[in-house]
Amino acid sequence: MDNLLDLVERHARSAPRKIALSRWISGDGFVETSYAQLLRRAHRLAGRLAALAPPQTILPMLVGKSAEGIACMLAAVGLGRPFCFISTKYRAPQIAAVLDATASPVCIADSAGLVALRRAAKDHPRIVRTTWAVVGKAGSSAGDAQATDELRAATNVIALDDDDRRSSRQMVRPEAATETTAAACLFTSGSTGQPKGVLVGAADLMQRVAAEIAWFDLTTADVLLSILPFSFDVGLNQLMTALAVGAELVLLDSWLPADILRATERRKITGIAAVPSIWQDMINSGAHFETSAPHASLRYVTISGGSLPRSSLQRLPDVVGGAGIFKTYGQTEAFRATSLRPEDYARKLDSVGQPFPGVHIYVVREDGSRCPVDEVGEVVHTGLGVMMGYLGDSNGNAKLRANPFLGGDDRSPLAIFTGDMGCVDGEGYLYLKGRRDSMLKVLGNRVYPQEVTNQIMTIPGVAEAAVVAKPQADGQMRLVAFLTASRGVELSAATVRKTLTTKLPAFMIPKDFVFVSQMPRTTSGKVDERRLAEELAAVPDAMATRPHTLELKT
Amino acid sequence: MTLNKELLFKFVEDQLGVDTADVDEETPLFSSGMIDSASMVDLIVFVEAEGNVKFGPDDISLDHLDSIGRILRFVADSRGR
Repeated sequence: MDNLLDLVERHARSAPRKIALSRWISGDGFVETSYAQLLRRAHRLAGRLAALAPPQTILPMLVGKSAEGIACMLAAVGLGRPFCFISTKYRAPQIAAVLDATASPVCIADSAGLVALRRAAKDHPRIVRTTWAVVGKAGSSAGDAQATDELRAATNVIALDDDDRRSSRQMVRPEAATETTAAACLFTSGSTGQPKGVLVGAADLMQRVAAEIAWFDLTTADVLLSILPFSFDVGLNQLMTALAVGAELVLLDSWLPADILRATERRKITGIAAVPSIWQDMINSGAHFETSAPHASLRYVTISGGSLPRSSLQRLPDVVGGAGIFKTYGQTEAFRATSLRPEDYARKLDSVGQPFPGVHIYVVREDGSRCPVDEVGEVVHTGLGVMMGYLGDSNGNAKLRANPFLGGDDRSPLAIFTGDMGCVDGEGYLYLKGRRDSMLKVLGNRVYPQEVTNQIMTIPGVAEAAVVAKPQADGQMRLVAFLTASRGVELSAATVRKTLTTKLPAFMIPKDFVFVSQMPRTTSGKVDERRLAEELAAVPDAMATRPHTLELKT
Repeated sequence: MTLNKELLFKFVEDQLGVDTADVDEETPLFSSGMIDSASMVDLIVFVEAEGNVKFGPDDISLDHLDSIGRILRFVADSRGR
């Protein structure tokens, strides 16, 4: 099977000037990269990386949506090394945890990656020990120039020469790849409070790409808008499908309605993948696409990575004009499980659709038997998209089990027990009904409250902490932290919040910090999170904007 | 009250909880993930009140909001209109 670099090479030969990537740089408009330019960059970087990054090791990349970062991914593909996009929303503790897990001595960074590292980097030995290979024009803003200088003072920083004028005939010789070789690693929030690496097999990755191209009818004429990060499976697959099919991918760093509308008009976007919070913003702002003109190019949009409240789902068709709406559902561990097609949207509004091609979905009871129609059980995913496993320790592998339904047309040896609860109706459409565990979706991101609690607990003066979510009227989750201060310590919400900005991605930082004199406890002595959630439900939404103290009857 | 650089830095530091020690006028605040998208509403309310400007739906763009410099330029341009 061809890998992604092979496909890019084919496009670069047949249509060298075809635009592969266009990136919106504020103030400068769109900067375009053709297929031929992208291939040249990938080859040149492969030459450097072959010597720099050890074989059989995941290549971590702390990069934003840049052509340089994408060229690095292609270089890794060409060399047969698994690549890993690290979220630039991560802060030093998560970045250090990812580097630890990959065991790579080198990490790629671009300008956005350097900003993510900021000053906290030097306090983390794992970040200091890493060789930082910087691509692109880092140092263009004073912010990342300073970050580069600080990093250079603390650790080994090298520039990966990316001068477009120098020609290169660097041959890419991949190391032997087999069916069981990992091609990519995606980090996601884990129930234990540490990000976990999900390993995706080389063959599976390209099969996902092929399935998505067919599902969305993608051709070389498509122009896709990339809003979601490549560290997120939906964003990564959109990038890969665009390059595989020879389409144009428009890289946008903004999620704002005005920017999305402008990009769609100026680049004649045909497809947009977005998370619910982006569509909710669009609905709230009164923005909408004019599919008669000037947004006539828009063919489809997706709602991925979470759900919208019913009232918003009903309004979305007006927002997107005549464009088709695909709902998609899946997990990092199993990629896309189901999708609801535009023709079913109105009729099956609350459903996430039917299994994606190559996927089998089962709903099971606690005892492992299958639920009949309309009965709620755990959603199990087999077939296309099932991960190879978690990187490193097997902790959490309970999610990945031998396929109990092996047989017939289901030949998948492994099954993902998603932890999502759901039921299937008489026509085979899946409906989601919450989670088995404490996992939440915040602005499209997976969050386990434990991950937040762990970082709050590292702040001096915090004795105890618990994080619970308050569902908002618009369907979004608002994180609220309850804490107690150590005896004799004066702690303010402002101090805790500011400290957390160096320790957690912004979306994981609670909106409210509630100091309590004592945590409510369950009979077994654990913090009673259910009780906290109940107390919170009784509090009006608006009050939560400033620090306050909530009296709990204990 | 006139909106200026110092006031904006102070708002970002105190209200949005960002350590601004290594933030300069051109550091991307939102596209870099330094500030989460939900905080944009607070920032807009502040800029409208202190800068005596109004953001129309088309104005709420990263071109006008992604850095302290861009906000100040938007405010200056809006006054000139």
